[in-house]
Amino acid sequence: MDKNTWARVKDLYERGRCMLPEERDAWLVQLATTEPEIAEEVRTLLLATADLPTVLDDTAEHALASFKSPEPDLFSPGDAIGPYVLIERVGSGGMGSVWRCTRKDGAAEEEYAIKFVRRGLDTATVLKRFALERATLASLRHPNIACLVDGGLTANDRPYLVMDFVHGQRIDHWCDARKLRTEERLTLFRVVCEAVHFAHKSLVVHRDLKPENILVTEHGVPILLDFGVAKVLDSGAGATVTQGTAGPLTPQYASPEQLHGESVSTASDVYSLGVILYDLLSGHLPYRLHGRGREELWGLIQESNFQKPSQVVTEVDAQKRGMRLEGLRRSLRGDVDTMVLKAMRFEPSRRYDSAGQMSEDLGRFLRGQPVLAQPDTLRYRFGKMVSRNKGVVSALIALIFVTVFSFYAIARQETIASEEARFAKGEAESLHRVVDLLIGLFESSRVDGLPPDALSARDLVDRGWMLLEEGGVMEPMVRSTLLLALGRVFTLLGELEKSNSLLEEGVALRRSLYEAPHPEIAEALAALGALRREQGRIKEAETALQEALDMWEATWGLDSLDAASTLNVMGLVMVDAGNLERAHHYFDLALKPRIRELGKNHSSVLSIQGNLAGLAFREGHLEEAEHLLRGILKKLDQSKQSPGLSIASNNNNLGLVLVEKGDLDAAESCFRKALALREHLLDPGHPEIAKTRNNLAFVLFKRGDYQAAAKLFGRAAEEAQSHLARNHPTVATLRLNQARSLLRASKSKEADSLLRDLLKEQRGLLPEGHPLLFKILQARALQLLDAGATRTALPLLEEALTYGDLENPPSSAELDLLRDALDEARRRLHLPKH
Amino acid sequence: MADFPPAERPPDDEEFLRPQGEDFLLVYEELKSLAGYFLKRERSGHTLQPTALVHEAFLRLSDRPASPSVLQDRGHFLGLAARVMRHILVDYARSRKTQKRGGKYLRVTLIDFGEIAIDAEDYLVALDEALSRLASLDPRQAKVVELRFFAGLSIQETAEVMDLSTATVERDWAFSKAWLHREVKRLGDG
Repeated sequence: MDKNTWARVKDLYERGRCMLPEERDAWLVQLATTEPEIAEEVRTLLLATADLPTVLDDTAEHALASFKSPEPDLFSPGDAIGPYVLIERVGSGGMGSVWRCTRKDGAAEEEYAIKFVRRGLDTATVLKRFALERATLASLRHPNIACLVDGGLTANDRPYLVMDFVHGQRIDHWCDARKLRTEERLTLFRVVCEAVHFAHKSLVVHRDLKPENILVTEHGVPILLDFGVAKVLDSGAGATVTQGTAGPLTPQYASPEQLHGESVSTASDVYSLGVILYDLLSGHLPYRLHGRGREELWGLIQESNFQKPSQVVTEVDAQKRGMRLEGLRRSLRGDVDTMVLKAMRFEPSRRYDSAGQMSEDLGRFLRGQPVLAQPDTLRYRFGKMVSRNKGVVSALIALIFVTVFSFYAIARQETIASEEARFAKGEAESLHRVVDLLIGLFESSRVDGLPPDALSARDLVDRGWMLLEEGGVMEPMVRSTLLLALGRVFTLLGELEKSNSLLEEGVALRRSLYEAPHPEIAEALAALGALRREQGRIKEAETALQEALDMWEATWGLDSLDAASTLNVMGLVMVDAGNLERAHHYFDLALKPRIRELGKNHSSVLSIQGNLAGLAFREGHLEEAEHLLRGILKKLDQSKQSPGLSIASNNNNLGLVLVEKGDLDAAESCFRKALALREHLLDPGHPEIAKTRNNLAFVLFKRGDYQAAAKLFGRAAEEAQSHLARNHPTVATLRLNQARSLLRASKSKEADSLLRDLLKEQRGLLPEGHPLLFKILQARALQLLDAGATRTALPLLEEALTYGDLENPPSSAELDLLRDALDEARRRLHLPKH
Repeated sequence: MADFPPAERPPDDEEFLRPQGEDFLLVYEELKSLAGYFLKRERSGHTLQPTALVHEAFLRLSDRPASPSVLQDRGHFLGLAARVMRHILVDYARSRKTQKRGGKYLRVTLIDFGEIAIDAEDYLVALDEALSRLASLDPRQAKVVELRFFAGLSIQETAEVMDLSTATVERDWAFSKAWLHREVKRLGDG
């Protein structure tokens, strides 16, 4: 099937899937008359959809669940194994099958469980380990512990272990069957904790505590199975798995240190007790292993990712406890949540000191006394985290965390918790994630409506910067990634000088690391191009971006998502350069892959549409621009991500359109909205604030309030100047606007010196032919003419008129005005007409 | 109009490119040893979860003194892991099929369509074959299936890893399921 047919089938299938059956049948019949083969494809696919097996509904795990039929059993009832006689098979554990048996020479009622160790385990080691542990295990006599009594080899060399047989039901099933309430479950669980504590005092760690290993007898006595068994079997498992401990254990109940293959202690059992209690009380495991986002996948064993037991219970769980949902929640909320989570802390040293202490705390709770466990404090965790981590990555983590901590401290506890969880294992995780987070954090901090002083964004990135400045040992690839990441952040912040040194080094480094054309270089060039644009170095921006685009074209294609952002910036550069047609072309190119891959409502699609609106505006298509902008604002209002800055930006631009349409009142309200949002979200003095202030000033100017306008323009210019390079077009524009207001306000002296300085300065900075330079020339010339300085004005007028020969000349009205002015000047100087 | 600063650039949301580190064998080795354990175990009440395996493999790999480059890019790692899981699970299904023919196992009837009963092992093996064909027709869709079905990722996660919208992943997943199921059925019929 060729590509087009395939795409057509997919498309039609999607349409058909959404139809009502009767509608669909008619549609298929219709389709068959024109495209019979495609219609047949679509029909059979729709038919297949109707009887999709459940196995495909979810994941392969369902398919696998059905594979779990028992291991072929080599034994039959009545078989004699050493001194034991098998009665019946009672199950199969992770390590092999389990049988109920009696001793040949013992009383019939004395029953044992015999566990055959699965083949593949190292027999000799199991036996050796058993011999070593045997004495200890045999001494483990406790009413709530099933004792390991014997072990040996079958006739065909299969190791087996023998322990007391317990007639009982799994603890969770037992509790549910009796609809035990929270307090009753806690009371029962204390007994389990005590038994574990007893074993710990005998220096036996269970290592594989789980509900299956805790049975409750018909008399309500909990009995723990398999104490010490994991250890005996463990060394045998090492033969086939790199880290022995992870072999036999059940990951859902295992402690982080076990999952890491680190040394196991009594604290590991405390952790497992915490998980079992969590499960027992809430009916859920603390983490579901699929379907909840990436943090979960990487950080699921970290405590901060857990919801509290009280947060996960449902109506069904409440029914199993004979309670109402609200009542169940109330019984868990607070102390119970805290106690469970204390047992499950990531670091062993911060869990309960012992299972005994855990039992005591549960007891205190049941008696209504204050409990030992206190909610984990973020400050504490932060301190620990910093002291644990060393090195470059961890320094970044720490500085990120400082920032997270400072903004979210009170309002967003859960956010911090999950951020921290993502980074608690930071050393081992990839640097890219750290960098992504750095940027994500920075961007989200800007849009989340946080007060500007809470954002130590500059602090954050400055520290990252220092890290790079200090150099030190860093892989070149890592360094280049960091350079680019921080460079981009500085560009966003408007700190262009820092950004400049970082990005220049980043580009050079990438060029030395990869052979062009290469996406890595293209990425660096794109970042540099965006910076150049911010710096107002339009030509250089274009050069860098063009090179980046050539590389995208040679590698992943111009219609890739990665190229889209470069195309977008290139479009903006074209806008700056006054080449609107090419700008349109680039925006259109950038829009396609984004819509295709991300959908119509994605923020990055809206951002290009915003740029297209700006273009329509510049081309004078005001209705189109207004329509586009209102559409974008509507989508942003519905967005769940509270994109404050995008709302500000689009309001600002809508204001510009409304000014052009002459609706000054509506425009003013748009600008004020934008200004308020930006002042709230950005650092004081951010160039975007300056831009909005400029626009608001312009409305005042239009209304004739020149003095106020001049003041606002001046303030905006200062704000912009503090952040931007002196040759940035924004600064020049603001100064120009200030001068115009001053002229209108009849403050000619101030206007004169301002314009003189501005022209002198910008001549050295802006490229010849820049539209802004034309504006400055024009303003200065007209001002001089008005002031009677005709001789000085004349060459400027002539120079300004040469702009009429450029590819994108100023408007004819402006040129006519200049021609008239030139004629006037010549007349005054008694020169012949041009 | 030049009175105004240039039209503004809304905050950008561009992503970074990530270096690609190829290390199929490393991931394979790790997942294989883990999966071997999980598959042979029987744990009442809990089903085997591919995501848990993938997660553990990640932890183990990241525990190595020199963190392998394959971990640097999560999407790449998951893509590899999904591929590896597919190999492991399908191999396992194949070996079970062989084993069952010899033994006196009760056939586990998982899916019934029409008169044909297929069990999980057959289904998975047939699915694997169909998936290979899908990959030649539409590699992106095949990858969605691998991540969803074999690595157990959610729609959302798959979208993140593949840098697609969730809507696209949903469409791909729906279509792929129908297509694969039809192909598996045809195989059964034949």
